[in-house]
Amino acid sequence: MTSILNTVDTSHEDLIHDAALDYYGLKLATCSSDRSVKIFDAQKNQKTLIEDLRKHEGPVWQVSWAHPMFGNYLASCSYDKKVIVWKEMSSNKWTPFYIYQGHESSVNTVSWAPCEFGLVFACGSSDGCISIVSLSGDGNWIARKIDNAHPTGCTSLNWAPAFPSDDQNESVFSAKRIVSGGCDNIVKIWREDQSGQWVLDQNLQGHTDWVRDVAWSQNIIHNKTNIASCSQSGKVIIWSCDLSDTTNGALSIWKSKVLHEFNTVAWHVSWSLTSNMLAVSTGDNKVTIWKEDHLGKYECINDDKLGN
Amino acid sequence: MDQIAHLSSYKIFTDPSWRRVISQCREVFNDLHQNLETNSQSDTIKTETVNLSDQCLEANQKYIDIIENELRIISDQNENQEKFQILLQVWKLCQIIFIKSSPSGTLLNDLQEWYRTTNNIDPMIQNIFSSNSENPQNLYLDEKYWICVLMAVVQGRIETARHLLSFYPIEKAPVLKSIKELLHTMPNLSTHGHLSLFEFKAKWEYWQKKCVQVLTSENFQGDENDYLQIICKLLCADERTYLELKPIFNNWYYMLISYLSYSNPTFNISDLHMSIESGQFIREFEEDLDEFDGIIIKIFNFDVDVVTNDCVTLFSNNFFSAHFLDILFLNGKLQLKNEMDFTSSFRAESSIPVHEQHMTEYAIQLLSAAWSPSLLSLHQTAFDYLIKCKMDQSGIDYIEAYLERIPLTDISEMEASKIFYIAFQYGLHDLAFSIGRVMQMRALKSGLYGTALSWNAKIKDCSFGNILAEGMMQEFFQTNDIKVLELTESLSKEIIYSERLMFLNKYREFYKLAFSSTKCDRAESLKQAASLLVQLLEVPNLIPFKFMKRILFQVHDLVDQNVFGEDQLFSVLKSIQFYENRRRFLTKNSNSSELNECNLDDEVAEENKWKSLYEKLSIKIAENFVKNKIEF
Repeated sequence: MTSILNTVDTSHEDLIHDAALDYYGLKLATCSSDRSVKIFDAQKNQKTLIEDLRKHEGPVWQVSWAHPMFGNYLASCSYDKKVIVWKEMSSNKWTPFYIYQGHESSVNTVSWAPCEFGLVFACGSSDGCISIVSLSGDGNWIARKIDNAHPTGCTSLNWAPAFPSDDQNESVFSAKRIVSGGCDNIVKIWREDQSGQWVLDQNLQGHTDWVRDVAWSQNIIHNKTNIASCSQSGKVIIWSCDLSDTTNGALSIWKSKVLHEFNTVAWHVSWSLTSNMLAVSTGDNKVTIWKEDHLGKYECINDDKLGN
Repeated sequence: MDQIAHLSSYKIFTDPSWRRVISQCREVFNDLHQNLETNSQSDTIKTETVNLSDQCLEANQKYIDIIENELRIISDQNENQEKFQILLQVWKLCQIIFIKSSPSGTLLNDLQEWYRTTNNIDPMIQNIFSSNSENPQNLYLDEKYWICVLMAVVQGRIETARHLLSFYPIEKAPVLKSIKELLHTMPNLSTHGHLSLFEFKAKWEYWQKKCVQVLTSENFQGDENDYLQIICKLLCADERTYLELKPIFNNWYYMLISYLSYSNPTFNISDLHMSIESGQFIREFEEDLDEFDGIIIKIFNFDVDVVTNDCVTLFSNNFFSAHFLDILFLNGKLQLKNEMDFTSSFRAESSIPVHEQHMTEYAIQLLSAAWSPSLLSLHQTAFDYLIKCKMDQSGIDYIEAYLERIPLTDISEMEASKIFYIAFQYGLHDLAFSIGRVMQMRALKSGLYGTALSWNAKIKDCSFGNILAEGMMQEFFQTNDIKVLELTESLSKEIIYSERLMFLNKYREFYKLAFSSTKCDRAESLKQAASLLVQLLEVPNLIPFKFMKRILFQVHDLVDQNVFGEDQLFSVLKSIQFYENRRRFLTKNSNSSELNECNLDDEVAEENKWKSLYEKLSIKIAENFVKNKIEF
């Protein structure tokens, strides 16, 4: 039922670890073990290389695009312990804008916050810490750290969408939240409290091996917000929180549902724009797309053999 | 634009035939909702619109008509034909069972009608008539003749059956007379509408007794192939005969409807349900049952949740379920169903009403079908459905999420305005404002002042309006092209939010009076121009400093024409002095940004021009002074 629209020859010289489309879907960024980050024009059928960015000194694990309201920014994280924020200075000319070196080990993941919170990114590292780095009004970058977020290493993180604030308990409901996964097999939700400190909000336990990726759905569908997580063992779990439940103002009640257990490692999970479909990439070089039906059951829509 | 997984199953929505159906259904959907809204708001109840269920029924009928109409338009080879046919069959049946029926109401007429329209025998009958048009008396010899007669009987088309039987020579089978008599006297629910059900049943039983009598006592001699006997058995509701006629029915549901129409013509939903439970006739067809049969069973079981979910699977989209559940909800029938059904998984899973879930899904499918600004109308359709989801507040969030992801760099002005108005219409004012800001900047960068101005007027962005006005002024002084000024003409009432734009508009009026008026009233218009200019000069800070000198130079041209009064000359002189003071002050404080004047000639020429203006004005004032003195 799905069709491949396009393939891109990236000419990376080693494994590609991540590929991300920008906000409008006009540009594609890829990163690889060959230490490079490449940006392509994804508009036309023939993808053309715009930039080949070589500043990292190790394999680049992940790339993330910021919301375009601040200009065009791309963040990349690498084994060389750095996060580089690239900025498009003039049309199709990208330069390193800021380099964050606050970690003592490989930085595995980087993710930009919703634009409502300003130009802020979070990154997680093998040293177990998560950093939340924001650009302040005077042009300086300020970093806050969550130490020992996942003591054995953080593999992935993702921001919660900016929920509409509820007048009654605004401070809790509209708080910034991050979901992270790590080598301790736990999915954790972090929340920024009123003093600006990041505190542990929820421990979501259900995986039996390293959590490989977490994804927070960016739109509320049928009054629910969902987190998908996948692990080394191939288990994919959907954690969902019913927002219409008024006792649940602080997003405290999470129900888990195992989407599927693959026979191989599940690398990445990603929600569609409207949060009604989830794409899962697995170690057998396949991407499966899952859709929730009206009974809350997820069904694989591009591989008939799965999910029934 | 490829960020949304293209799922080929939703691609059908971009098919021209589907597009027509979708857009027509959208109109019906919008009309229905609008009508209901105005009805609920108006204080006086209009008698013609008061009946809610009538409106819903009417809308549902319109949906059905749209699909029927489309089926008529498309050719036989069209790939959609089969899908539309199935859709139509399901929709009509759902209408009968879920909307029209009442718990104790009889279903006979509606279901028979459904049987007749979904399995139309008219073409076959026409066929045998046309192939035997030369010898109508031999019609009964046609191989299809008896099939037609039997089909007419099982479908309850008694008149048709009688008409066909009239071609059979009575001398061949004397029993025909009795059969014809039975058909003629058969009680009919629609014509005996005045009777109570009880009375009708009594009439029916009496008639059926006569049928049995004919079957047992009459002599069926000469009845080739026993067809007349079969007809008689059908009338007697002999179950085995129905089963033997399996090829004529082709499927179990037609057989069931036909059987019930003779065995229990006043059957209602619970009778139907009981027949399904007992597996009557279904067993006969067990091997051939498919998804579609499953849906029919569930419709007869009155299980709307399961029916709609199964339809989503069958059609691979929520087109039907969204429209149909919406009708049921508005009609009050869906609530009833959900309230009754406490075990329903919907209640446990989510607080969103089920019809809104389906509507949201349908809208998302439309949005997923093709993501490009050229298909904006499809998206507008989707938005119409999203916005009607009152409980599911994420509808408006989706609209915003989709609209803000349209890259404004690649789209035409018209598409951008369309998006702007959609955003505005749904109250997404921030989004509309930012679209306007991006578009006015885009236009200004390409030197399209008119376009930039129209965007600016749409969003009333004061600070940008001021910048734009200065840009236009600069452009005007450099090119001396009046067209730049004329851009404000049509928008004079809209641009009051920006004082610079207002000034520009006034300046245009002045310029036209002073330099483009016709000769006949030249003196008068020059006078008006002079007084307008003085008014403009008198308002503090109205004229941007960088253009002050240029505008004062225009006094130079007017002074010669003797159009200024004495007071006006003094006023101009005051402005000149003010300008010089200001200039000195700015030079002293080296405020280069404001000092950046609009100079057209080199410095010396400008300076000479300035001096000459000063002198001319002094002379004029002196002349006036002397003249006045003499007059005194």
